[in-house]
Amino acid sequence: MLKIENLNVAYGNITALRDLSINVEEHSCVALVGANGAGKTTLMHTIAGVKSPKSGKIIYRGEDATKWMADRMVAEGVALVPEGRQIFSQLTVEENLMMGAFSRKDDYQAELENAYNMFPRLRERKSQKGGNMSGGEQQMLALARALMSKPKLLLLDEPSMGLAPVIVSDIFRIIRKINEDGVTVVLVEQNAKMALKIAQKCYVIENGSVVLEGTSEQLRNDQRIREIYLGG
Amino acid sequence: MKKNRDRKWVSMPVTLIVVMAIPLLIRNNTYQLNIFLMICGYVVLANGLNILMGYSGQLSLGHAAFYGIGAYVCSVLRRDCNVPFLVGMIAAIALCVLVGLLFGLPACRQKGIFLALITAGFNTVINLILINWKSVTNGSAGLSNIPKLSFGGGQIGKLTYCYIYLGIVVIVMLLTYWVIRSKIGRALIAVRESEVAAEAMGINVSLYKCMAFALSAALAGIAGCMYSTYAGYIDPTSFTSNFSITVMAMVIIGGMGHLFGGVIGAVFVGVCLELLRSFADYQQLVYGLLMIIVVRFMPDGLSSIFGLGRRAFATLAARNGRQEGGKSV
Repeated sequence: MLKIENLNVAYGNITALRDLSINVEEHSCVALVGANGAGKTTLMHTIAGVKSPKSGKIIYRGEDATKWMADRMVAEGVALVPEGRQIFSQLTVEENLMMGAFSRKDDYQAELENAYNMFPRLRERKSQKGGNMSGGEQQMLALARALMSKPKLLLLDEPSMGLAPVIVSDIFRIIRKINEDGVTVVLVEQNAKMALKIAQKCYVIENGSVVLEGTSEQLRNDQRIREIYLGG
Repeated sequence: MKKNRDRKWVSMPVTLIVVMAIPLLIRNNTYQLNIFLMICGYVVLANGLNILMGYSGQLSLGHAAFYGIGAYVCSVLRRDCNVPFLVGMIAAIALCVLVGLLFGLPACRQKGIFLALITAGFNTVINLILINWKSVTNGSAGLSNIPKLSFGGGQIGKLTYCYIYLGIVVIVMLLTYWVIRSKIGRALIAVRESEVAAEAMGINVSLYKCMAFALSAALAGIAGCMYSTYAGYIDPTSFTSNFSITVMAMVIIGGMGHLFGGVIGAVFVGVCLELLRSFADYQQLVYGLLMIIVVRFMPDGLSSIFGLGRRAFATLAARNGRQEGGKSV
């Protein structure tokens, strides 16, 4: 579904990604783990078309998507849930959801209904301002907002950031459900334990390159991974 | 929610009728009528900047440039080419939109204070053009004898002016309301709130920023036409970055991102500047103090007073409702 080959991305003189290659199968859930500054967010932004790569190739559903900008990517079914949720805090919950369907020209009432069914809390708060909700509710809103564009590929950047453990497991339950409904998921996480639980495949990124890849099973049993990312 | 909306449809026409009565009340005082006309122009100008700064989150310290372009284009065309007011205004809007798009380009790369500096620079450039392009603008001496509005051969009175300008203000406000409530308005707010998220939603951030600049510039251009036509005389000193700061102050004092923020700010600052004229040299000092007081105690601007009033009203209504409920049991 998504194939990235020898991707190089830089901010001015600073290289963020170095010859990075990953492969995401359709309907799978892939996790990217790594420390702060490893380049995970840059990779997500580059896939979503928010950041342009210096060189390399992004192939999405058999087409060369390297030069596609964000609006094209959304239209083709790629949705990004940015790091730190980035809710439109002065817009109401419902308006936030409407923004998620911004690129769609057809009727999105069904998705709106769907979002409210998946997150009943959002229905209760639909005329409340997005910024007045708790962190967990905002993360749910960010997820629901991304789903409004009916994505085929969902990019999740640190969905557990700053949330209480009980809410984190809620969020992950929902992500698993979204994945089971047929949406391919690419997940960036510092919470490697959680990520390995729901992903089938995992890439470990360090200094802008993939240093290790394998099934979640393999990585869970890898001695180095256990020491660095899973706390022994 | 519904009640709120009902109240809006009542309060708006009432406000409009009250405002329409003002020119009648001051009809014998040419000075006050002039102030009224000036403030109408400020309202359109500040409203334009509110769309850009309040709703889209893009700082501009160059709005006096658009105001000036509007004033000069309209005046030169009307004075030297004898075109009707409306044609002059459309030409002014067209040029302002073009220059506005040009202003929008740096906004795609720079943010906040850097953008403010760039726009202030643009303002200075435009001002220098006004001063030095003598064959068209008559340089520092300014343009005088700008024809007044006329209808059927005769010049129209100040009172009619007031109602024409009020009409323009109402049209501009309706247009603003429509834009802000539309998909475009939501996209602009989204860009202000989070550029990354806006982009991830498929919003072309650069395009919308340029659009906000163009729309805002167009409104400033209209304001410029209004100003030059009633004043009859313009010169480059009215369009310096100093005045841009005043316009920004109107928006901040009125309330950024409130539909009536620009209106309230323009009226407040316009009236203040006139009332403080008697302080002569101390005018700027008192004006500055007023600004500090407003920003310190009402960071959301004067519009927040209405929010407070509504909230107090709602609390009161809720308390009354509870008491009545208590009685009936």
